[in-house]
Amino acid sequence: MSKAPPPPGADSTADSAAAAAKEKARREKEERRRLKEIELQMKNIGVGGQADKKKLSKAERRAIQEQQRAAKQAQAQAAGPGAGAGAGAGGGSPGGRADAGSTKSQAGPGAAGGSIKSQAGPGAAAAAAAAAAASGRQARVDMSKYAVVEDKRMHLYVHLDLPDHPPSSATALATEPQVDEAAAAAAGERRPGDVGDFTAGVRNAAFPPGPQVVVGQARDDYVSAEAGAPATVKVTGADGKPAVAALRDAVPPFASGPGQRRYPKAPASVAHTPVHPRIKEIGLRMATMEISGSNSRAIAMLLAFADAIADYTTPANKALTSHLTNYLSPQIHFLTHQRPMCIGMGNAIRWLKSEILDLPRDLTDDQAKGQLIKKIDVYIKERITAASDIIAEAGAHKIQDGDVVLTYGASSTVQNLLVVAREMGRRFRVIAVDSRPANEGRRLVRALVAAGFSGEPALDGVTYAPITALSSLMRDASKVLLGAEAFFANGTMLSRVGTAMVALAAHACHVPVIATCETYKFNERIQLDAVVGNELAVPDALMYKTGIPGAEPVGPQSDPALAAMEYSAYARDKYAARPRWNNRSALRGEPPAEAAGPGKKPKGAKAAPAGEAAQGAAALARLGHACPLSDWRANPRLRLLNPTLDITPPEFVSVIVTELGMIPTTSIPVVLREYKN
Amino acid sequence: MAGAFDIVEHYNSLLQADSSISAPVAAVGSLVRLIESQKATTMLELMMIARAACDRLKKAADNPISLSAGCDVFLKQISRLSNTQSVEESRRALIKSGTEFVQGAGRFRDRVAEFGCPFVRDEQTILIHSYSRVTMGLLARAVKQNKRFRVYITESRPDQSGLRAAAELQQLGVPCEVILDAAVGYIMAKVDMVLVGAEGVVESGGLINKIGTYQLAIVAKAANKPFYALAESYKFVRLYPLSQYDLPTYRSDLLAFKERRPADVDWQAELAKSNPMLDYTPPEFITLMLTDLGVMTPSGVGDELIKFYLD
Repeated sequence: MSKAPPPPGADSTADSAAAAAKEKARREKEERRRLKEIELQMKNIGVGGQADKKKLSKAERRAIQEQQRAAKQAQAQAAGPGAGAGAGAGGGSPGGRADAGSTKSQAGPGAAGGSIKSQAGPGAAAAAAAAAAASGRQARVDMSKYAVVEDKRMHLYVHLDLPDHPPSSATALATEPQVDEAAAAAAGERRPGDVGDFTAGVRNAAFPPGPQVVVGQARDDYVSAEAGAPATVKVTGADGKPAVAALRDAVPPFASGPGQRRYPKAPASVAHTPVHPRIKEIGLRMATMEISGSNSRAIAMLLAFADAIADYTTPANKALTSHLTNYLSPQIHFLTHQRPMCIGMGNAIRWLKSEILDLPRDLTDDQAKGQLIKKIDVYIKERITAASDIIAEAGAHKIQDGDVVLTYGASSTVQNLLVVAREMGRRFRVIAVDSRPANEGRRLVRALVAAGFSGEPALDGVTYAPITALSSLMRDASKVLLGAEAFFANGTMLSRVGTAMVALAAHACHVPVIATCETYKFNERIQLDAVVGNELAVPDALMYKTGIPGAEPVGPQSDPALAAMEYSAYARDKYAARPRWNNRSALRGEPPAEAAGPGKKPKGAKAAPAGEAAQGAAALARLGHACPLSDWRANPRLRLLNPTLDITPPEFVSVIVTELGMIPTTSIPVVLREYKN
Repeated sequence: MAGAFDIVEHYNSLLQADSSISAPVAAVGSLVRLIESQKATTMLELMMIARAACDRLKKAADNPISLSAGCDVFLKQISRLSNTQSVEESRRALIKSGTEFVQGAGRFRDRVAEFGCPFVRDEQTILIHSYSRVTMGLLARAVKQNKRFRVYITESRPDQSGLRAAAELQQLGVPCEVILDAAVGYIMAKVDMVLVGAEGVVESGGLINKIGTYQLAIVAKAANKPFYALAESYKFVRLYPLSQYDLPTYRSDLLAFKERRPADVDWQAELAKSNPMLDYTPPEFITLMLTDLGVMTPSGVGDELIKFYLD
C-alpha cells in the first residue's frame, strides 16, 4: 500500500492530487516497459550472454533514476509518517522503510533493493534486478543478487513477474538482462517450432573456483560465507509486529506447525561435499519461487547440471561412469533441500543417471562430458521445449471459433497453446480462473492481454475470476484447458491445487477437459490421494490476502496491469466492458462498518478501475491488516495447511495433449512402456 | 500427371466395382496405383506425391473419416520404409505390401467375425443399426454355425439402409424386424445386445458411425445392455473428437437455424440436406470393440494406435 503516492489523508490539496496523477502515469509507463522487458527475457532464455554497451548504459541510467526517486519518496514518507499511506502494514513501518530506502541509496546495488521496499513498484524490482546484475559483473557471486531475491520474495504473490527461466549460465548471470525494444518486437512474432537457443546455455564454460558450500550446514552459512551477513526479510512476528528474520526462516519449505521446520537432514554420505555454485543459485531461486513451474524448474536444473558436469573432473583411480553419479547426488540433494522436486525433475534426473551409466567406458573425460552435455541439450529441446511447442500447435487445433475456454492457474504450455490458437486466427474467449494465495492466474492474464486477447470481450476477451465463481462460470465454458504437473500410470493427473475442483465441475457440466502434458512428466507411480507426497507451501500465505506477510493487499491497486484490464462484471452484464464496484464508498472514504471490524476482509478489494487505484490503496491501508490468524503460531492446536498440489481422477480428463499426439488417460502406461524401448 | 492418372477417379471406380470394398482399402489401392505410375527419384518426392494425393482424396470424398485411416496407414508405411532402404527398393516394397493389404482386406472382416461370433448365442435378440458389412459378415457366420437368433434392425434414416440389411438377413433365414429410429427406446428392453459397425474408430476409443449410433449407445447404457462395436483395424483413425461438433465432417450449416420463407419450405427435402450423416459415440458407452486384432476395451484402441504410430 505504500505504493500510494503521498497520502490523500486528511487534507489532500489540489497539488498533491496533480502530483498523484503524474506519479500514476509514470508508474503505468514503467509497468508497461517492465512487462515488455520480462517478455523479452522469457523469450531470451539462454541467450543472455552478450552484454551490449548501449543497452547497459540504458539500464544503469534507469537504475540511477530509480534510486533517486526512491530516496526522494523515502524523504517524503519520513516527513509525514503518520499520514496513513503505509500505516498498519504487516511488513515494517513506513518510517522504517524510508530509512531502508534512504540509507541504502548510497550503497550501490543494495539501494535498488531498498527502493523496492519504499516504493514497492514492480518496475522498480525489474530495474533493481538489472542494476544488481549490472554491478554483479565484477564479482561472480554478488550479495546484491540476494538482496534482490529477498525483495522479490516480498512481493512474490503480489505482482512480481520474474523471468521464468534463469540466465543460461553463471557467466550470463553476471551480465545484465537484455533490453531492446526492437528485439522485443521481433520476439513478439513467435514462430511455431521455435524452441529457443539452448546451445548457448549448455556451454562448456569452465568456472573459476567459487565459494564452496557444504551441504548439511544451514542455508545462512551459505549466504554469509559469501557476503558476511545472512540474508533477511521482513516478516510479521508472533506478536503481529514486524520483525526481521533470516531468509531461511521466511522460506520454510515444509513448515507445518508452530516452530516446526522439517528440513531433511543431509545424509552422512553427502555431507561436506562441495555443491556447484550454479546449483546453489538455482536452488535458492527455486526456494524463493523465483523459478517455479515444472518446465522452468526442470530446464533450470538440467542447465545447471550441464554446467556442473562441465566443471567435473574424475578423481584419479575412479571411472567417470561410476563416480559422476556420486558427484551429482549431493547436488541433487541440495536442490531437494531447497524445495521438493517436481515429477518432471525427478524423471529428468533418472534419465540423466541412466545416460551416465550407458556411456561407453573408453571415452576420455572431455569426450564423456561433451556427450552428456549434448544429450542434456537434446533432452531439453526434445522432451521439454519442442514438446511444449508441439502440444501448443496440436492443441490449438482443438479450439474452434466461438469457443469459451476456461483455464485455471498459469501453465506455460496452456499459455503457449492459447497464443498459438489466437495466431491461427481462432476467435475465442478465455476465462482465467485463479485462486489465492498464489494468484498465478494473473501471470497468464497479463500474458494473454499482451498477446492480443483484449478485443471484444464477448468474442475474444479474457475474464479473470476467482475459483469460488467456478460453478456459474462453468456453464459458459465450452472447453476446459488445464496444465499438468504430472500424470501417473493410472491416469491420475497431478496439478496445481484447485485443478481437481475445476475438472470436477467441468465433468458435472459435460464440458470436455483438455489436459496438456509433456511426456517427460509421465510417471510410473500410482497415486490415490493428494495427501501423500504433497508439497506444503508457506502456511503464513493463508493469513494474508497476498500470501506474503507484510505485502500489499491483493487487487489491481497493487497491479497496474490488472487495473488497466477491463473486468467482467457479472452484476451488470456478462461481458461488461467497464469495471464495477460493489462498494465504492469502501475505497473512497470511510471504511464500511462491516469491513472495519477485525478479521473482516475489506470489501471491494478485488477490482479497481485504474483511476481509483490510489484512493483504494489508501483506504485499504486504513482498514489495516488485522487477521484472526496472525497469531497462529502461538496456538499449538491451530495448524495452517497450504498444499501446493492435488490430483484429478482420470475420468475427469477427456484428453491429454502430448507431443506424441492426443491420448486418453488410459493410454499412459502404453506411452511409458513404448518410450522405454 | 493428373492427366495420366487421376486418383480420385480411380478411387471411385474401385468403390463402384466392388461393393464389399471399404473406403480405407480403396484408398490404399488407389495410392498403390499412384506410386506405380510415378517415377519418384527421392523418398521425399515420393512422400510428397503421396501426401498431395491423400489431401486430394480427402477433399473429394464426402466422408473423409474412414478414408483418412487408409491414407494414414500408407503414409506411415512410407516413412517407415524410407529409414532403411533405397528409393527404388522401398517403392517396390511399398507396392508389394500395399497390394497385399488390398488383396487380403477381406480377411480382416473374416477375422472380426471369428472373434465376434462367440458373443452371439442361441435364442438371443440382437439390435443392429443401419447396414454394415462387418456386422453382416459376423451374423452370416453365426448363421453358418447354426445359431438361432432374432434381429431388430433400425430403419436408419435418411437413406433407409436398414431395409437393405433386413433384406439380406431375410435371405439368410434370420427372423428380423425393421424398427423406426425413434423406436430404439421402446424396443431396448427386449434386446440382449447391440451390434454396430464403424466408419472409424478414434484414439479416444470412441467410434464414428452412421447417425443414430450415439443415441442407440445411450439407450443401451441406460438399459444396461451390452453395446459391441465391430471394426477392422484399418479403420483406426488418428482423430480425437471432443464432442459431436469436433469431427472433420462437421459443417456449421448442419442443423443451423436458417432463414426460410414459410411458403417455400419443403421440410421433407430439408431433412436429408441439413442433417449430419455421422455421429460420434464416446468410449464410455461402448462395452467392447470386436476387431481383427482381438476383442479389446475401447481404451485398447488408443493403445494400438499409439503403438502403431510411435515406433
